[in-house]
Amino acid sequence: MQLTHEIQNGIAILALVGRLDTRGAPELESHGRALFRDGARKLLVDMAGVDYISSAGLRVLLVLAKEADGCAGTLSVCCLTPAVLEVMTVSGFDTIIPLADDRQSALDALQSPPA
Amino acid sequence: MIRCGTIRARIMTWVLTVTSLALIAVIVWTYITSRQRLEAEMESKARFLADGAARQIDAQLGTLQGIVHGLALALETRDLDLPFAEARALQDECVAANPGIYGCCIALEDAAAPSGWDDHAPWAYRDADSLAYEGLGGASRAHLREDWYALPKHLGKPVWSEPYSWKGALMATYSVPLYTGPATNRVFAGVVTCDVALDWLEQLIAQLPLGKGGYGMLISRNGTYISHPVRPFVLNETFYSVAEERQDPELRATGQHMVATDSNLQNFRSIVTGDLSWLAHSSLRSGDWIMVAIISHDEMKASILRLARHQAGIGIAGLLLLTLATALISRSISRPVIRLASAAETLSAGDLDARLPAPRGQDEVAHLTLAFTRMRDSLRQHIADLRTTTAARERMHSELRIGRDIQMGLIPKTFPPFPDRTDLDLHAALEPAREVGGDFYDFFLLDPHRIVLAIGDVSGKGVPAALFMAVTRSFLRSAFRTETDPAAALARINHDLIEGNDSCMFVTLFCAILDLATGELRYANAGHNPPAILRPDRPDRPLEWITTPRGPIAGVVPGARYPLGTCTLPPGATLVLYTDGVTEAMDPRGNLYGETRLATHLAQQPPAATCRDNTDALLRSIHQFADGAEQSDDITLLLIRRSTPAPELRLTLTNTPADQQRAMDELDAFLDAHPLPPKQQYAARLALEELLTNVVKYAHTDTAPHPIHIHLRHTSPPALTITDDGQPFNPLQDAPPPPLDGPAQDRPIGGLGLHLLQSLGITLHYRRQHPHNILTATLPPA
Repeated sequence: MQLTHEIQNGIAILALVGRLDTRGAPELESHGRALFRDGARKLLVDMAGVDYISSAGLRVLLVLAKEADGCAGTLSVCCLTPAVLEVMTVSGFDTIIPLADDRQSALDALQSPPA
Repeated sequence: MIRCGTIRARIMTWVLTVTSLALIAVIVWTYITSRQRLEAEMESKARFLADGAARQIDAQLGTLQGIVHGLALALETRDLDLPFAEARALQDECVAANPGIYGCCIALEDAAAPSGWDDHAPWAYRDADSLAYEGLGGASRAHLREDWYALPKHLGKPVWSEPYSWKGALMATYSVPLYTGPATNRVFAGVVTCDVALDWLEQLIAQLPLGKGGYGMLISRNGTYISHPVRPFVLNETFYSVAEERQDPELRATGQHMVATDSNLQNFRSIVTGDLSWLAHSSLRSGDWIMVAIISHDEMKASILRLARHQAGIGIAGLLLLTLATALISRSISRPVIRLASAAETLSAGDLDARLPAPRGQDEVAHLTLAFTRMRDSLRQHIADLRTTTAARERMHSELRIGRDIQMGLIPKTFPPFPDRTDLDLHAALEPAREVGGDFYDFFLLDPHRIVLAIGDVSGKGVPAALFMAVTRSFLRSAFRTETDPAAALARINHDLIEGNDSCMFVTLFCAILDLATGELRYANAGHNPPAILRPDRPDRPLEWITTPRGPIAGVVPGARYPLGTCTLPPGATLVLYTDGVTEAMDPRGNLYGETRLATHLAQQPPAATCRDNTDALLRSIHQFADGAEQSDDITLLLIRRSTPAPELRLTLTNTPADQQRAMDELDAFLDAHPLPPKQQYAARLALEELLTNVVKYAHTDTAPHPIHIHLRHTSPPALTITDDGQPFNPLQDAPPPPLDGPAQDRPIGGLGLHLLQSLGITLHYRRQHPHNILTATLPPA
């Protein structure tokens, strides 16, 4: 899995390409944790390049959501491919982690203060 | 006590009702007829009594009249020329000689009186017991003006005077005129009279048998009562005076009618009793009097009532006797019936040993009792027979069951038999008839590429057939343990069967070895139905019969040789083995299913249908054809089809993360080579990753390396099997489903994998085959 990192308007964006599986998950976990540890409070995971997610990947997303909760931050996920969206839906993750259709709407949601 | 509705009550009711009605009818009829008869009788009695009394009075008075006439004749004959003393003597003699005559007077005209007479009207009369005399013709000549003198004088004929009372006695005077002179010039000279006491009249009338309320009376022409039970009426009242007094015109009419007619009968209301009565009258001949007899209707009514009372008394007595007799008779009828009924009740409750009453006599009840006894006996016999036949049937049923158990216990029944093999599709079915027919099939792998197929039909039925089939099957198995040539194996089975086959049973048997890799089919046939090969690849001739070569049935011909046949079963073609239960299945009219119908049916099956589909469809077709007719023989089918082997991935690795990664890479490579639809591809990857993660992480408690076998079959649908030697773990039971809702911080991390697989439509099947956990994940259909 490839992982690129950028910051836009104080929002950390992690763009993933490849499979978020047993092999790829630890990389996302360490990156995400590091971002929160370094002071980031808003993290957007762009999964446009992810065509496969397993329970290991879901687990990492859950870990990061908890991490965000722990430091009063926010985790958002955007740009899910249909296969990944189905897995997120059947596993109930769409109710835990805010999902956005595209990156811009995710960024807008993150910038506006929570209602 | 007689209960309502019983035969006895009915007999009693009917007999007594009818008899009572008849009795009442007789009494009423008798009453009416006897009333008429009695009326007539009473009327004639009244007439008779009136007439009789009148004649009796006539007789009495007639005698006295004769005496008076005699006296008068004597005087006329002497022309009154006789001395006074002689006349007196005649008088005295007349009174003395006749007790009915009270007095006698000879009253003469002055002119006619002889000169020597002391008195012109000497009267002799009875005074107590002696005779007395009085001269009535005193100076006054008063007698000349008396009725008894004047009336005969002027009428010129004898006259009875109106009755009168004389010294308290009722009297009447009979006066006969006397004439003197020559016959041509007779001159009235006087009268001769007799005073007649009428006391006897009253007595006579009182003695008339006129019954209660009846009475007699005598009246004069003028209606004066001469005799009447009411004394003051006598001589004082007349019919008409009473009628006037009572204002009773009927009474007057009655009186007038009596005067007008000589004798008659009329209805009359008695002035004495007030009763309706019959009144009969009869005029006297001697005087102008009328005798009347009155009989009360009450008398007749009393008679009738008396008669009716007697009849009713006799009738009621008879009725009582009849009641008693009926009660006895009906009891003699109903008692045996009641006894029989209660015995029948016991009988119907199932107690066939119940004692039935002994029949008495020859009547219908006795016949019924005898019939019941016979019925009971034949029932008993029937039940005994039934028990015997039931036991026999039970025995037969249990034999059938045993036979079927033997038969069904020996044939392989798990399908698919080789679930891991994608290169063959095999299905078989055996539907036993009610009585086991001895069919069987068998198949087993000689080695991974060769399978032995056999189908047979043992002669006979029932347990012997089942046992023979079991023996045949074991000979078959043992023959193929050493022989790899079906013909040789069949020869050997034949040999083994003949040995010790005392019961001369035999079996038709087809056996073959199919090379699954090449499709070569080598076979031998001992008299069995020719198998068929279904070839969807040849639409012009989709069915091919394997008719040759054939050998004799097995178990009969010692040393029989069986020729070996060879043919090829191309991939996708189906070999159809069957027994005669298929071709000889019958419909209700006795038609056979037959090979033609079988061929037509098989040729119509879709090429994609599995062997199970084809088997089921053929069985359905046979059942439809049979249309409820009883299956007479076992129906057995064995279908096998070679398939092109599906691509598969077999991997063995150890329980390390590195090997897990390698497995994922191998899967990628396999899926690149044999792609699946995207969904299945995702599912395959997810299944392998999740299941493998579980095994690697949790299956083993030690740190030693353990092998994990992975097998992915590219079938439809694809299936992934993972075999490990870890501790027993059934993910379907031992892993609880994770909670799927609630905020992130409440969600446990992990436990998601199995749930995810099932959510995506992957079917998991776990079995523990010691020491292995075998978990198969069947991917969702494309």
